[in-house]
Amino acid sequence: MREAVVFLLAALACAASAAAQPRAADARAYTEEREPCRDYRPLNKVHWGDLHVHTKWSLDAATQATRTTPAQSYDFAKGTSIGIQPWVQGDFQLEAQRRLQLARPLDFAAVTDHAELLGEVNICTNPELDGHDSWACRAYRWFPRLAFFMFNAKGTAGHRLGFCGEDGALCREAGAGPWREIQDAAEDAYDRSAACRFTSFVGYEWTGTAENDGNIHRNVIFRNAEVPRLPFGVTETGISTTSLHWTLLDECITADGRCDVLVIPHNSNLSNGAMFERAPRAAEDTYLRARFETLVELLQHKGSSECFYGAGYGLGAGPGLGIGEDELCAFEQLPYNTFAGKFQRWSREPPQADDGFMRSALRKGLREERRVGENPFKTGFIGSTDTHLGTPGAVNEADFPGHGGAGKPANEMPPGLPDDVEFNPGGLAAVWAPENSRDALFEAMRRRETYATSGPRIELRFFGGSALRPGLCERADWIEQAYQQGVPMGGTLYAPPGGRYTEDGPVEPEDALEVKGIPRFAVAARRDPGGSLFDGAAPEPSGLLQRLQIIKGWIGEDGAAHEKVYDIAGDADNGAGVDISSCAPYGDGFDELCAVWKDPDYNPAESVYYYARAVENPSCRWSQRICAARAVNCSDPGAVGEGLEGCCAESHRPIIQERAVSSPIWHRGKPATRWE
Amino acid sequence: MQLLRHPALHFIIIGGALFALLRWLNPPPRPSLGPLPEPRIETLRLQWLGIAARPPSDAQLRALIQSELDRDMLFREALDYNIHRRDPVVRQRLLRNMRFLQLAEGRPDDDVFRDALRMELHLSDEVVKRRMIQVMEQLLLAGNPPPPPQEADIRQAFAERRADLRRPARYSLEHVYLPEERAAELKPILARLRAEKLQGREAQALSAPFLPGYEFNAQSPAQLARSFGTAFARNLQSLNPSIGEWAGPVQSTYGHHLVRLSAIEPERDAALEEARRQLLRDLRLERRREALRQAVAELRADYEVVLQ
Repeated sequence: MREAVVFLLAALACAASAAAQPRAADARAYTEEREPCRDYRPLNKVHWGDLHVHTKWSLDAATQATRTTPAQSYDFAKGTSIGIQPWVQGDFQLEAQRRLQLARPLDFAAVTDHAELLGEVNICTNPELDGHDSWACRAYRWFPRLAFFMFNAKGTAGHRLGFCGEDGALCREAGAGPWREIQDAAEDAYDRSAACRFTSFVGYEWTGTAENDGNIHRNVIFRNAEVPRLPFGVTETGISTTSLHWTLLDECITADGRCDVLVIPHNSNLSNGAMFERAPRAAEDTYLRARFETLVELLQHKGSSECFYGAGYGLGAGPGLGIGEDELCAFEQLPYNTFAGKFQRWSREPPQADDGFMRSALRKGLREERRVGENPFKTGFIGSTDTHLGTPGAVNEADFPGHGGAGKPANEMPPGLPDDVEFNPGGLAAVWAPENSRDALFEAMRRRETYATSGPRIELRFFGGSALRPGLCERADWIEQAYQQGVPMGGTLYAPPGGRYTEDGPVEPEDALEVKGIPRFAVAARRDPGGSLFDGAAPEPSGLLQRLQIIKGWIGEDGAAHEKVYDIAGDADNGAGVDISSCAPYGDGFDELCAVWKDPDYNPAESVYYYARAVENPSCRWSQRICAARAVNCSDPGAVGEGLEGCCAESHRPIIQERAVSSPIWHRGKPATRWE
Repeated sequence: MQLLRHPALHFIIIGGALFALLRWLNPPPRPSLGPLPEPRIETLRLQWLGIAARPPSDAQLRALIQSELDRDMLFREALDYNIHRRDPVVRQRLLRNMRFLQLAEGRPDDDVFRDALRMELHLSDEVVKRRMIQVMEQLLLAGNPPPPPQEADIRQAFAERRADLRRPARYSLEHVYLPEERAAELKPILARLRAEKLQGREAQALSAPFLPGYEFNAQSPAQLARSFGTAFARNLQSLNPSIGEWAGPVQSTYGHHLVRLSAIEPERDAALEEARRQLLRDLRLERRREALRQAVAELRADYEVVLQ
């Protein structure tokens, strides 16, 4: 019953948006009013952004003394220096004791505060919430002055007479409070002119928890300013399952496409397997998931969800089965598999290969495709920060103030590490779109032409198709060729019939490119130029590239899962490294790498995912940069400074290899069984 | 008439007057705020130490105590307004606490919630407190709406912020890229580009592959830096090539570039209309902050504040 009510509310919330009709500005169709961008690239350019940002409206950020407003967050994303905690009361206002600034602005960002804490400020003004019709609320609405005295037991604050205005309008305005403020901030930050300097998205984080304590949080990103009147928080709607949440959002989508939404799961590494559950789902769920969840947040503050590494894990599982053996998967792998495990040692369990890492989810998707003909877990990748300082894009390992209140005060080194040692500054979302507008970016995210980076702005291209020529990398126009001959990251190839069986026989998949012969894959990466555009901001490091890889995962004809990592360009043994006592890198690497690769074990019958990874030379992790600067000597435990114990923890990995991870390209094999 | 002479009426009138006189002579004490108990001050000190890495100075500690007392005050006001009974977030939080305490099994939410309030769980939960303070701040703002900025304010802010509102120069260009190992070809290729007046695809055919592409439209130096690295934008500006001519090489993070500029829009002041939205937003934010600060200060005046 309650759910039915909420559905109705959702429908009502979006009914207003249905009234207005979309207008196409020129050949480019927009779902909103804006000027077309002057800088338009038919072959797409990469846009850098952060789609996971908490401001003071998230209680867990406010708890850590974060005062950044949504508007300030967007200013920060555009390159403005902002103040962060600690705050001191000055003569006139609170004054920040630290400042932070991006070395390079972002192209887009979304403030995604927890929906659960944005609830109506004043329940009396919201007819949809319990209690609206209580005697007190009725009095409040009809006789606001009288109610004022009834509510105010003291009755001494006479100056607040007329608190809500004659008709209560002021209080209603306050009621819409944070959600309104978030929308306004996004609107003010969005550049609707032809300059297309910056794009904001309205969004929120849906903060659900699975029955097994696993994290099933998701960020909801709206296509344009058409959004529900209130975000669908777990506490507000009473809806705590992902599929009902999708249903709510589905109600919000109107036929003309003005109200549209993407749902981006994050921290599947902390989901204890619940993010991509194995239980059979209703067809409706599969449809909604496929529509909304085209992306996952792969790299962020609370670790990497790419893949699992366990020393010796894959041994004995059989030749060619590399699950758990990819050492690069140790990168930012958390030592627990639920968030509760961080705080309750008794419930802590180390992660396992099938705990929700994306390689395992992609494999599950392939299995489902073999079973029912549709792949429910066809997700591309992005990175983001999950900042709780309201500082989108602050990913510099050399300048990490921690995500909470901790960090170094102005001109002074902190006593210890500014964040828990297992956390990291987070990553960025890279989106291939022709221009920097909401519609262009949103479409690119829907078709998964995106990738994740661990922070550096590595440019990464990835195409697949049987018509790609081996000499592609030498051609100046190779991107154009690749778009004509193949599919970009996020796309799908198929070997006929490759679709699913229906009563009328096999159906060829839509939006997929037919493979004639063995498919080739073109991968190119370019290192981050680094640097800083502002005098006040710490320049970002520019690491050289070490190698390009393709990761292939598939379900064999025997039904067993397989995984293989191929180095396709560069050199894993190039001798480059980093001196951990000074954090100075040494050795040579690559500015650019490009290769065309052919799958040596291609089998048209198999369903496969391929994705590309560009890896930098080794560099110091944020924590090691501090440990090194403080000259921590772990051989003398008594001399390790306060708060620096993490430097010497067994789990501390001082060296990282920053990376870019592309969305997969899928290959649909011939269906093994008939559609039942 | 009979009624006016009735002693009971006289009794009431005289009694009322006496009561009013007494109230006037002895006004009820203002509610007091503070002092904070020592353990809470100690907590503030520790929190500060954790964030700032040094103990707070006396002035800083006083400021911390003052803001903590303000929070107490807003919480108290919020309780007076019964916000805890009406706010869905508080309700859900208390229900969750009750479930955790296993006091909710099989009972309707309303009963459980009532019990939670009876047990005064809302008084000791930090999340509830924060939430109620947040709501209170919103209500204070609604009751003390800041004055909307006027045209004159916008114009004044526009004049004051001229420097930070400036619009950067914009370059439209195409380029031919050669990495370091092909640097020897720069001269002959430049000569050919000039002699044959090559453009677009024909020029591109001479380039080594460059991932971000070959034609760039209306790029600010910052945007150029993101495709070519910061050095390129600087080098291009100092080369100062003329429009329509192939020039270079310009050095970037990746190698060498021969460049043909098709247009430069010089750096300029913003027009008022371009900046209006931003100015308006900033003025509004500033006034909201000030209005909230004032409202809290006024509220504080109703209290007897004891800092330490």
